[in-house]
Amino acid sequence: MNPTSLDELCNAVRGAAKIRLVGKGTWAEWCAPSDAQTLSIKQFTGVTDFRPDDLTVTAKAGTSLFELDQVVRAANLCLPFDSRHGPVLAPRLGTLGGLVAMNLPHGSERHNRPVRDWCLGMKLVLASGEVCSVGSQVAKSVSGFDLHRTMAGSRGGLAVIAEVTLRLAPVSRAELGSAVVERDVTGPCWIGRTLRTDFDMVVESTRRQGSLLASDEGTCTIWSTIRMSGAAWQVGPGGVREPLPGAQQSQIERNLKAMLDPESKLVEGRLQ
Amino acid sequence: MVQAESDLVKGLSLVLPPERVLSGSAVRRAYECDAYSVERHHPTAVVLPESTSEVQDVVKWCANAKVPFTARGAGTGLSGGAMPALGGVVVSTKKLNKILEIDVANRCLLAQTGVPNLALTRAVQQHGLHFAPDPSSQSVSTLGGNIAENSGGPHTLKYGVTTQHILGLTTVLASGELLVLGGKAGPDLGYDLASLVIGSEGTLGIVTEAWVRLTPLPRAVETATVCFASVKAASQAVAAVVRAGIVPAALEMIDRFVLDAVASAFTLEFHPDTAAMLLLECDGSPETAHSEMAEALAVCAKFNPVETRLAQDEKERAQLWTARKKGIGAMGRIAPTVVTHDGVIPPSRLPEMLKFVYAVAQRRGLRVGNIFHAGDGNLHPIFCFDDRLHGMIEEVVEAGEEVIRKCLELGGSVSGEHGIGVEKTSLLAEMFDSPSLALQSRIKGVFGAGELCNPCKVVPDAKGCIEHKIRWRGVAT
Repeated sequence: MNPTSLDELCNAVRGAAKIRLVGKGTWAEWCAPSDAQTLSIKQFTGVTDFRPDDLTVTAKAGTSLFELDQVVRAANLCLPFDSRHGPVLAPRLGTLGGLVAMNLPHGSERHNRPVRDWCLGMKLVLASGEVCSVGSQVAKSVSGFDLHRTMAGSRGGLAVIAEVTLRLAPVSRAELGSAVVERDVTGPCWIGRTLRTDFDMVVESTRRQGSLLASDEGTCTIWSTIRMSGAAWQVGPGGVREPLPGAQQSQIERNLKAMLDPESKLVEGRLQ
Repeated sequence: MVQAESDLVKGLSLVLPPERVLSGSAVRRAYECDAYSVERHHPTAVVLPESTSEVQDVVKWCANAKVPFTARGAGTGLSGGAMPALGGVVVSTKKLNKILEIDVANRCLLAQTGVPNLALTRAVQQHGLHFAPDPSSQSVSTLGGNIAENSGGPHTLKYGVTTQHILGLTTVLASGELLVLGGKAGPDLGYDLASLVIGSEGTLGIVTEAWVRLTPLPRAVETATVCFASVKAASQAVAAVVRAGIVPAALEMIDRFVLDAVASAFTLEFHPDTAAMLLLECDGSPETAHSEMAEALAVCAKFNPVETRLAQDEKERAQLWTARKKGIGAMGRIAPTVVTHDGVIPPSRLPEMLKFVYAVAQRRGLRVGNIFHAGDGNLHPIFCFDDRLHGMIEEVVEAGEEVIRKCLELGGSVSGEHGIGVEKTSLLAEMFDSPSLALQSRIKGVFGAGELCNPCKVVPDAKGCIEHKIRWRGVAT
């Protein structure tokens, strides 16, 4: 299924029994495999509202990050990824929806914050096919619960992110990546975060094993070909997540899923 | 439901030492509202737990007895978030006042949520660190209140609001169960539940402890004031600074009305032709602070300022910030009652928005001042009036609603940092369509929050909120 309009997207979601959302498949290997029917958002594209004077842009989820960046660069703004980084630390090749749904650490996070923080608001399509807005279109808002922040990183398991309003950065912030890349990260890898006090030790032991791909002291993030020991948390290929959440947290995660997707229609690129 | 004061006090005294269960007419009056005093309702009792487990005990007791409960920090909230809308128990965090662990090497600390914002910074500033969110109330407002309201402040323009500075949370849910999220290394990559709890105005549970991120103090800070002969020129300068991609640490605007009040209270000097002043701060390395300030001042210069002044030393800088942070307080010198509104617009619409605010005030015969976070379009019109005059409160409430509706019309938000509380529940319904509002109202259920946990706030659901709304206002008028 390749919907091109919001109506088609809603109908596709409403009519489906079980679906797996995909963009361009950039992050497929970080997700657990699934044989559910795929719903691709990559033809649901376009910038719907660009306000260079307010440093915001609203675009449909299938919009490619490359195109979005081109549009905003014409006004001296950017999605602040560092061009010296490869496609995992600076994900410029996938879709806006994929970027936000994954919310993985990136190489410019120290100066430019996580992707979640760029999201000001969203238009969602719920599993019922209903369209809802969350968040706002302005840089600061405490109006209602920040469900748009929770949607960032939800891996398509809660609702369809149909449209995102992002806060943009001035173009000068694009080259502020603080990650040190040892080897180009092209395929699936482990991405972990350590305490500051453990960072050097984990970097060293990962390096000794020959598995260090990149590291960022600014955010204590490490990219590695194998599972790290000593990380406070990490995610890996196939949607593996460590450590697992506590019982109460799991229960509320399940409640949230049940509230948004009661028939469990949306197959998450699961963190398990 | 346990209603009688004596039953309630007796029951709670089995859970907490009796001296930490307060009741009586003075207590009822002291806790009937927060800094949003337009709407009031008194609690039956107030409890002062000292630990997470005591909060659990109180909440379990309330759940069992079907008594509503409302958490309260310092009571500086500006939308009625800490008002016990349906009575019951106020859970004060006043004695949850300990910093439990300071980890300088990992730049974080664990504190109980009754600790005042500024006390967090005071505890770590000798290590060159601080807690970045800086609401004007920061000398008294608590960490828990900041978390509940997702508080901002002048420096959030660069550093982000409270949610960006919380690494972990311990929340007592409405059932009394504990929800622990994140920790020293921040939240992991599961569903981000912390973002729902932060800013939930105490409707999802009571946050009792939090790991907060500590930010290195900037090595250099430069502060300047730029005065303009018209509000329009000042607001155009703000929009131009934003558009130029300069992100100052703070970019505040103070209009003449507020300047006059502040000047006499805090000896602030400014050019006699000033209609509005911008307070600009840039920080970072000495080179960055200096070059950003030069760039920002160059942009401002295009709008013909009547005066530009760089703070020469720390004393002068502190003086400027005192004027800004105590500015609203100083307004109290000119009128018996001041009401501060809060709304957000895209910064490019500032000139048009401010014109509208002055027009509304003039039409309604109210005096208005503006002192606000211009850089992120977060407006704070302050209406000054005499609440003893018949019909004035209604006039001010309506003026505020007009202003907020204009914010929505310009693509903004009904609140930038004060929250929805009881004040803006109907305006929230104008910001979102009904499916979106319904979605918001279902979040309480996800956390099992029910109708007892800070009822009638954000998205009212408890029975009786509407009839009570009439009664709250009735107390004030």
